[in-house]
Amino acid sequence: MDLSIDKNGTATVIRIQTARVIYPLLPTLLEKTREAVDKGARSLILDLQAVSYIDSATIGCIMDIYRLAKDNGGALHVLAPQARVETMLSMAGVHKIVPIFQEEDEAVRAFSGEASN
Amino acid sequence: MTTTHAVKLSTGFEIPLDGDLLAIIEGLYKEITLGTELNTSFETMRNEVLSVIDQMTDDERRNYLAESLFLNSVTYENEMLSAYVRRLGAAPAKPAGKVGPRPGPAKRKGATERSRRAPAKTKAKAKRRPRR
Repeated sequence: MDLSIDKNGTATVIRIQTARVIYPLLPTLLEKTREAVDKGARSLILDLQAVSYIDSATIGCIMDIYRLAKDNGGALHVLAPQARVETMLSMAGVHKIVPIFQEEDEAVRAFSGEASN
Repeated sequence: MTTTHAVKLSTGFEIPLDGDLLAIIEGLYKEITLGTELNTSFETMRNEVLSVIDQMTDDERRNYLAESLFLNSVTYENEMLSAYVRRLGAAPAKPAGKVGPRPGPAKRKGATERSRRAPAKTKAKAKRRPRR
């Protein structure tokens, strides 16, 4: 899986650059995210701008990342999903639990308005 | 999934079997539901779904069934978690720049009622950490 991890203020942005995110790629995503959390990242943003397809396992993985962040006193925001990906997230009810943003600055700012646990 | 052959709907519309469950759901909706101007019956849709299944190989059926069950499991978990959070009165704050959430199938009335009826199970599920 092609991904990078950047900082934007206090937020950690996990940018996925793979268009088709499916089950075999997910352990890498989870491992890299876990490493970031172990190093102190708490406000996580999952940038899905470059992703055109996710399968159901990816949705499960996003919920795992959400729980990982929550368990460590942090939070997860999803950034800029493409229309079909957002449809998948909505179908699975992810949007009710994990906030979705279209702009990175808004995703970063929104952490300050959230409880830390 | 490596198979790339396609299934054909009764309208002639072809859907490649590349593992994309949403493509089948969208195809059925556009071709059958919208194609009949919403005058389709549950029987028409059921027959169309069975026809799609009949055109799949065993491996494809297995993959799509797994995809469908997994998606429904995650949806159910999220619905239960969401109901639990609502009951706590601590629903996540609505983010400022968010594109409005699209009401999905998880918003069905039945799912909400089910959630209300099973508070203990919901709580137990929400507390389960971590999930692998």
